[in-house]
Amino acid sequence: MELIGLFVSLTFVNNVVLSKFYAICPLMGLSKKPQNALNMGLAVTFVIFVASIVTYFIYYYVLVPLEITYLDLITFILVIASLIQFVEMFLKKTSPEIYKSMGVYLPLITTNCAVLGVALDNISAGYNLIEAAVAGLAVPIGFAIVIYVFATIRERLDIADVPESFEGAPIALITAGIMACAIMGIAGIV
Amino acid sequence: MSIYAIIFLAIMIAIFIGTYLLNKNTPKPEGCDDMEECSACANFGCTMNSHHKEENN
Repeated sequence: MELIGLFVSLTFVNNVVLSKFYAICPLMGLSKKPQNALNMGLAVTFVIFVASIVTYFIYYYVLVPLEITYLDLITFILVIASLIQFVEMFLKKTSPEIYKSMGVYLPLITTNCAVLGVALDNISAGYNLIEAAVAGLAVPIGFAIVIYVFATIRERLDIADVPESFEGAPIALITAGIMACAIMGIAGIV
Repeated sequence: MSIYAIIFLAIMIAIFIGTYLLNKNTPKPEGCDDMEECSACANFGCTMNSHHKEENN
């Protein structure tokens, strides 16, 4: 039950984009087409889930025993960058179809601060392996839902009669702000 | 900084360079060659952005 609560909390209430303001760059840049947003969401989900588990093991089985936990930030950056290179290479070799739909987004994930944010948050929150895996799944699913919904709203905004000075990024940021307010409304549920 | 930290960092950097070179030398599957012209986002820092191609031309 606690894990379900953690999952719902991280997906909706403490949404990584709308409450912590991580990953605003892909939210603004990749939300012009719903299909792009969905592909990015899937790629991020895969990378964050694997990165959460790998960084958990490196932190507790390498950094803590060697008493070099102050290297966590630079270690996680290198782990995530290496992981993305490895995943890209793996997809090139084994699954050209997935590479075709996801491959172009993989280099962008290296600069997605949500991946690093989740790895660091898992450590600072003191999660065990199962909780870290649930967080590694819940956070990117929350990200994918928000970026997809945001993309569909932006599609409608493109044909809406928006004042000239609000066209483009300004109205998108206002929309993101209203979405953040809506998410805050369900804060008391979990 | 302890000796463990230096060794550990060196290993991590070596792993990154290794995976980067392996990925770079892995040929792309057929039909994925045109992915260099991606215009999905406005991130000009990304090497796949079509902005770089326009710059080269």
